[in-house]
Amino acid sequence: MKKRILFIALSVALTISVFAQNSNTLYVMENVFQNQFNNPAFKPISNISINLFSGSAEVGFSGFPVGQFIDLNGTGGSQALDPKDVLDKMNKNNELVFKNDLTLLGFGFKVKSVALQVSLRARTNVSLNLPEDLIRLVVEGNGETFLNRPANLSNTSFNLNSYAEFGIAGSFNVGNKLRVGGRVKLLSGIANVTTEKSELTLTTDSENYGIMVAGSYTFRSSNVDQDIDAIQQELVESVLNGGFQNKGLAFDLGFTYDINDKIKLTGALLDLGAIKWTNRAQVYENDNFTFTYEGEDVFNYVNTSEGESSTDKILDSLTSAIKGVQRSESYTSAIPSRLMASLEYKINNKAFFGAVANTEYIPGLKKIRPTFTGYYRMQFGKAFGIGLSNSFAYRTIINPGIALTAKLGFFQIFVSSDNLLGVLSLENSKSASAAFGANLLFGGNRGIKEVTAP
Amino acid sequence: MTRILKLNFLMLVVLCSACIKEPKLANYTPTVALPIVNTNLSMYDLLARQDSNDLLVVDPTTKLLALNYTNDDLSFGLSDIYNPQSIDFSINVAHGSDLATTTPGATITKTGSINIPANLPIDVFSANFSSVMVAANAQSSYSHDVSIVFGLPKFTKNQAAYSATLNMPAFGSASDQQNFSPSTLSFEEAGQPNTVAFEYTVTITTNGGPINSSDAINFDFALSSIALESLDFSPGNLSVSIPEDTILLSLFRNAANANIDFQFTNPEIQINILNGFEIPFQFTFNELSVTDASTNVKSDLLLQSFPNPFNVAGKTGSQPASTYLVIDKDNSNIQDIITPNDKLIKFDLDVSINTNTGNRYTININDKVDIRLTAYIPLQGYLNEYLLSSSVSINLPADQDIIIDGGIRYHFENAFPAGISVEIFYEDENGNITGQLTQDPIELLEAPAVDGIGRVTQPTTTSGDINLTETEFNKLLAAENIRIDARLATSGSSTQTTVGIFLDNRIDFKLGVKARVNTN
Repeated sequence: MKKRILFIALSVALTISVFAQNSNTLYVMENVFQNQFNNPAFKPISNISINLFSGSAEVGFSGFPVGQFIDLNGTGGSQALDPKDVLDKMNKNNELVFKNDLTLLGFGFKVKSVALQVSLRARTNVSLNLPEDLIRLVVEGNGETFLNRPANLSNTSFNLNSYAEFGIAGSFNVGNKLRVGGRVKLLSGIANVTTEKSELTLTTDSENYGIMVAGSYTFRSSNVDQDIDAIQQELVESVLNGGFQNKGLAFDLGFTYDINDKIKLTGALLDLGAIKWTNRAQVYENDNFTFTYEGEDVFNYVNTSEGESSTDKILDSLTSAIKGVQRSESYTSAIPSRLMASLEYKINNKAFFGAVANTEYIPGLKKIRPTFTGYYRMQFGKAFGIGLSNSFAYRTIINPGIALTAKLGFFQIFVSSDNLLGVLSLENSKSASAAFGANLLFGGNRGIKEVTAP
Repeated sequence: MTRILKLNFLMLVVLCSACIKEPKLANYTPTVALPIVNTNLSMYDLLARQDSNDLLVVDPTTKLLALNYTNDDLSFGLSDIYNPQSIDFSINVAHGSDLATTTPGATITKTGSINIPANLPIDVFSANFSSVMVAANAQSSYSHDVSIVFGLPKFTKNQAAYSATLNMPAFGSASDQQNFSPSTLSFEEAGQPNTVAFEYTVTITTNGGPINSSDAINFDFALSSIALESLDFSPGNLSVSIPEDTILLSLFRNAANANIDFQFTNPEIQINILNGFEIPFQFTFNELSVTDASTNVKSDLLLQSFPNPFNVAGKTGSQPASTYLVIDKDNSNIQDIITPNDKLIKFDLDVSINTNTGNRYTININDKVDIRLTAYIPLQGYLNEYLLSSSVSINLPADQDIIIDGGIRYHFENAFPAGISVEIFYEDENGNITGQLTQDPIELLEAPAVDGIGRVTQPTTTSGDINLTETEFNKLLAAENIRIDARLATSGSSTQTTVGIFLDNRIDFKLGVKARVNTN
């Protein structure tokens, strides 16, 4: 019964977390136990902290509002986009991101300035990069812009990282102003897709619309198959049959530094590590493929495949040209890592404002994803806190965020979002993120004003 | 706990996959451009493809293409002139009056010759046999046992003359058979042809009754299973029989449906005879006709100023003598008869030797006369404006909202000395025209200019778009049939300018279609 309750609770938490999410705004709410995942140097407010449940999720697209293709509110409908408007909003590369973290186990305690923490989390990052020309090809077809130039579909990529993380963290003061912390994390990979190379061009000859497709690719995967049903089946079988074989190691490093009584600087380097994928690890690659179709040679036509239509033959030829080699091969992939930094000014013991920079490195895409947040936060009494923020993310300037914490006795809950508009109206927002959780806090300073702010 | 971790991922995947939906785009009408045709047309595509490699010949100098149809191997040799099944003669020898006594040991020895005329008007002087069987039969009317030794002194095998000994009882007979191969038999005795010399000796071997003066030995001699190796002879008026032969012209077989009305300006039938004999011959066309393969209408090919009969000289050295004659538009009506439809040329030749000069000739079994007739049709001519009309049933999707508008892009490079323009009509199920794609004919191929021998001086390039509005597309989709009227004409056809088809003549076709598609 306990397991069933736990399972239901986790499922509910996960479901909620998909509709909600995390990140920069929560970073400054130092009275939340889970915030130490963003900087291991953050000092917990209680002597003993126990995570009941918590999670975060984020979805975003740098192109157009995610509600156009993600039905997160369950209505199933969406407002039609003007194709011209879509193309105007496209950049050279357009990134679609899903992120999900679920804390399954969290326990921490501190003795004087030394704090230790043990955690078990499940984390998933999914990113899909869509080049502008790919979207233009869908919207315009190949008969307009691409009659005059090739469609550059390179960097079309899909990356998936899902793993469990068992971490042991510690932090302590170094002198009066500096506090440092670190975390060692053992990783167990659940599933992975890594796009190492993706080069593709489609050229349409203006003379007779002859088509040439050329490119190369290298994809790696572990524990996934081509369709969603196979993935689910594989996962169910894995659950029933035992543990995963993909092992990894990662580190978090962080610090806080009180420049003076008013100004504090923090920084963290998170998720420096990699996983060696061995379970059902596959590599799919083709170093160089070219497919050309100039039309049927009607006068020299030789029917070699009886019953096969012309379209089928063309598609077969295309498939044959693109299809490369597939082999089983273990590989190592880095997990997405982050660099966090903040600078905060204390107006008084109840009011603070500052800025947070969050730069994430996506190994598969080989690119960084920066976000910047300005915030103002306040403490109302000992039990309640609120943070208001605005972030620059997904090429959008207006992303108002909010974070709320409430503590009743030993019980603390929190919720935060970096883009409240996205939560309220996905139809018109390019991103949405939120975090949600509950903790038990024992001992130490229960109020906020006596807590050393990060 | 591990299971919970995995379930977390599983649920994320399920939730994400369940909530992903297709983006909706208003006025989402991409323009799709695809190639349809990229091909080239050469003469090989118009001719009988399976025969093209043998059919087409290229003039090494001008590169002008020509069709080259040749009859099967037709020849005659020694066996067609003289092929005796047997050579035989009978004589009565050793008459009783020639005997001086009747005692055993009495002999008669004599020599002589006998004339063996051939069944043909030829005088034979000698013959070499690669194989021959010799049979001798003797019948005695003597009342004594006798022995006869019969010989042909000029019938030799390995330099030994033929001889047969036959021992006969009283009133009896005897025979002898020999394989006398290979051998040589001289038919010349005392300067006379067709004459074979012989000798014999008859000996009385036993006592018997009285010998009458009329007693004699009847002797039959025969050569059979004859295979001649060579013959030394002098021909008279001699005819040689050769079978009829035909040549099938599969002209433009791949374009049979097009009925291309191409007027050939210089078709020829080339007659090439290689005479391996020293004998001159005279050839006569008994029949030379052309039958249309589709209509079976036969027309005689009239040899107006072409010599019929014509003479073929004999060889003078070791190489066969070649006789080359051409039936062309200047000496016959061939230009009127050779048209692009499939044709069967039939010819029946008589061959005769008409020397009466008394000249002697020696011919060997390997000597022969090859007769080769070639229909050589240079692809030169002209095609007046020719209308090719064809209706094609189409079954396009009834959903007329898929394609908004679009068009066909064409790009042709024409190195053929001809031009093509087309008109495309829409027809209903009754064949009534319901519309027209374009008001004016579409000049798909512009006819290039040609030089004096009909060669294209500069290929023409034709590019363009046939744009179709939504209304026109709907007409196209609603049509039951499409009728295509194509007008073909060679360069300068109005003035009957002769054009030539050369090795490098070809048309490159490139067609593409572009359509704005309604995805809503």
